[in-house]
Amino acid sequence: MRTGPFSDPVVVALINRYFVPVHLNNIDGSGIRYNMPPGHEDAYFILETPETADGPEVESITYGWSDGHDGPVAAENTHVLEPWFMKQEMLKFLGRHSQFDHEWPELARLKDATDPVSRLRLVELLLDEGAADQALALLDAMPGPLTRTAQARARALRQQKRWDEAAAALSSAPAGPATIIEEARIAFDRGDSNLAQEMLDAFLAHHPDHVDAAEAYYLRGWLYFRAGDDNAALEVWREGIARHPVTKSLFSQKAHLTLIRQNWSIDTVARSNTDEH
Amino acid sequence: MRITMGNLLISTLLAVSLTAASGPVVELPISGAPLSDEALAAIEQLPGVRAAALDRDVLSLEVTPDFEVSVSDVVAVLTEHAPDSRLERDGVTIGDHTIFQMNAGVCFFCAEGPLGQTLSRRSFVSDWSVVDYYAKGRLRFRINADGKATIGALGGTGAFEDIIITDRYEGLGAPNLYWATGGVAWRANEAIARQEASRAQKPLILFPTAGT
Repeated sequence: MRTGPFSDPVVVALINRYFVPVHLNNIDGSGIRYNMPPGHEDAYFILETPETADGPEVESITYGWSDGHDGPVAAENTHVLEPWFMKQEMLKFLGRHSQFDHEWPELARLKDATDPVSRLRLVELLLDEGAADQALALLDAMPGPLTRTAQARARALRQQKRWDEAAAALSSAPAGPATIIEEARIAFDRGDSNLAQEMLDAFLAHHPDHVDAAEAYYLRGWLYFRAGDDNAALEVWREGIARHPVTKSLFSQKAHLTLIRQNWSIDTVARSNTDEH
Repeated sequence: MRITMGNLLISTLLAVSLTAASGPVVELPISGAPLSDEALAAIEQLPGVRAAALDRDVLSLEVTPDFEVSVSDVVAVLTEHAPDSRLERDGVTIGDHTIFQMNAGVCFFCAEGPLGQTLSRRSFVSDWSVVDYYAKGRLRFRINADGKATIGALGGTGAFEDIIITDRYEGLGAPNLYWATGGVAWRANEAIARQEASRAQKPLILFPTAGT
């Protein structure tokens, strides 16, 4: 159920923390930009170093072409719009230009903190960036009862697709909506639609206004969609958007994008079980 | 001019309600047989219609604030209650509350370009914006017209699935469909982004938006 590079919150976190994102307006007829004539969109994204007075030349990398192809064909061939590809290229780019690789200020601030609350917050921030290895190392070094760290551990293991271990870690977590939604995520990601549905329905029945409810609506909509009930999917996505406005919720934005993509054609939204949300 | 007691009463009610509230009013030209009181009463029963009045061959409708009335609903009533009358959709004057609904059959991004090109060829269209959209290619837009213009002047009005009269979108800007690109904190424009990148020494990530 790929919905483009922004469907992965890790990609969004990396962009917002370490890049300055902007739409390049290439429709104003001002001329060829990045080898694209006005009105063309042969590139899918461009990474570029900032201009610096008396500094090195700007380095710009355009992603989107493949030999002999451009546009959608290139995207298909190069996976340029896959979240994993964008994440990989952003990290490579930052690695090559370490002078621009500023640590996210809150991460830097928490790095030397030793109290459990700060360490757990640090783990959460690392998981936002998909750094599950680092997060798990920190969790392993943290003393105290497993209950406190169980949800973060399950999240890290889920990011590594270690489903059984993630589910097992969650068994130590305190009961509550945060545990239910994590269980739903694990079930959803591993393709256990029945369990995911059970968890999401339970979650939404009792916590429709919870901070994670927009995600629950989003995932529930996909379960309907996968089951071939497009109308129910649209209804659930719309309900989630109505309860959690797109201006405030990433997952409502994702549902919103999915609705737009439905406009393209139902079939263009892959029904694959292997794609990531 | 055909004035019946019923019409006179409705006209009076319309005049009173116009002073009491400010629902949008639209004038719909009617051709063929004059509308009967029965047909007029049926139109007034339509959800969202606050009042209806007939003056010669023009049907005036006041729409309840925050409700909507579609031209196709009015046509359906005429078909049932006044089959010899015809609503001249192309003669309807485009106002602030005239919303065009079309089923583009493609996504908003694919529809926006051709629609914009079509509208830009109409000299009286000073501005236009999509105000709402639905799944599977259906969208609503409105235009700002310089001077008096009718729906027919847009040409090819068969492309419009319906015409909606409503103040529901008053004061609302066009929905920002780019919100949907997933929580990314897009900068307002390229110049602002480049300045920030230079000042903060952060790399840029640019996404072309040719609309294809």
